[in-house]
Amino acid sequence: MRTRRLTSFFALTGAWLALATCAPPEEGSQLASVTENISATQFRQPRDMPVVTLTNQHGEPFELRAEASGKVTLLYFGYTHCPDVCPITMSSVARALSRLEPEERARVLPVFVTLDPARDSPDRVGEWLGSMDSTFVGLTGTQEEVDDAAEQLGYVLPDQERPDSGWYEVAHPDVLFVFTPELLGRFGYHEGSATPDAIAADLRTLLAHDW
Amino acid sequence: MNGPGVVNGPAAVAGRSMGLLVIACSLVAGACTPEGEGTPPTVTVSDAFALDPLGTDRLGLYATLVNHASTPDTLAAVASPVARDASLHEMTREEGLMRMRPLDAIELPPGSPVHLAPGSLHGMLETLVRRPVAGDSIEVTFELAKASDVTLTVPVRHPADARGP
Repeated sequence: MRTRRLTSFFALTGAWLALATCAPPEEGSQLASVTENISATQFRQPRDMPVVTLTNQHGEPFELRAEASGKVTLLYFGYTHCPDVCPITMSSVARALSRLEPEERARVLPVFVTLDPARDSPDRVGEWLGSMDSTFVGLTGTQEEVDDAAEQLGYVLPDQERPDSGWYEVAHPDVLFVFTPELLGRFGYHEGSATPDAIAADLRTLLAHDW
Repeated sequence: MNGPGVVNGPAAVAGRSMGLLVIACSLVAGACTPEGEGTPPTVTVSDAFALDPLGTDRLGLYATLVNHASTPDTLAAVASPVARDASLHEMTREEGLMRMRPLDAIELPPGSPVHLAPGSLHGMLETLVRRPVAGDSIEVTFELAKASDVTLTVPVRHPADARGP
């Protein structure tokens, strides 16, 4: 009886090993090889790129999904009056991109969306981003349009008073999103983790993968 | 949901007058000995830096403060000749969002370092009369409720250098 059980065990184990070695790699295992090598956090549930058309810093309409298709997109929501986390995040992206080869850089789309369009005109967004990297895409729109873009990623933005003058708070997601070329937000850097070294290394890994 | 070092209250008043500070000092006898009389301040400030405002009219100010006295103190305000106004803020993460709120003051418990850092407690210099850039240095005063004020020359860093390589 014991011999038969052992035989069954080895037969099953052998079959499993054969399947594991002969079966073509699944998407999951390929993805695992990517996620093992990047420092950004992997979302349990990938998020779809928001369906929005906003206005870029040149005053032109910018259809996010059409422009991002086929590229690795870094997407950040913030505002130009933000004292530290927004400029730190975007300038860390700028420094990371400066370390890529031109061919790699051409396949990355860095996008900043302001959640403070009352103060952030296209010109202002362009000037602010230009101090970090003039090739960044800076998007604005109506308050409803920019809020909608963040809400499509699952955020609930609070109603906030926005007086004409003086200081006011602008709540914004604490994540720099990383969308892969098929427009899925698979990864993100939470506040404080988006260093230039981490972003550059992760981008090289993501760009080397066949999505 | 207050972190350590936080004092609740309405918006921090920009640029507190020295007059108020002098009155506060006179109420706390001996705690505010003028600089230069040989008594070391009971609060030390280290690793201070400011962020390049990237052309905007405000910049963030960061440092580590240690209260060496046996009783609590507070950071009442920050000030600089490069800014007409200044305030103290706290950033928090709530339900996936970065939030920022003004503070009246920042508590400095005895012996425990309080870190002003990006994404956390920080000072903000506003309505800049001069916009420093990375590589510059600016004079900043940390105004303390009990201890002597601390005035330092602090470096201005590019935001990309705020968190390491």
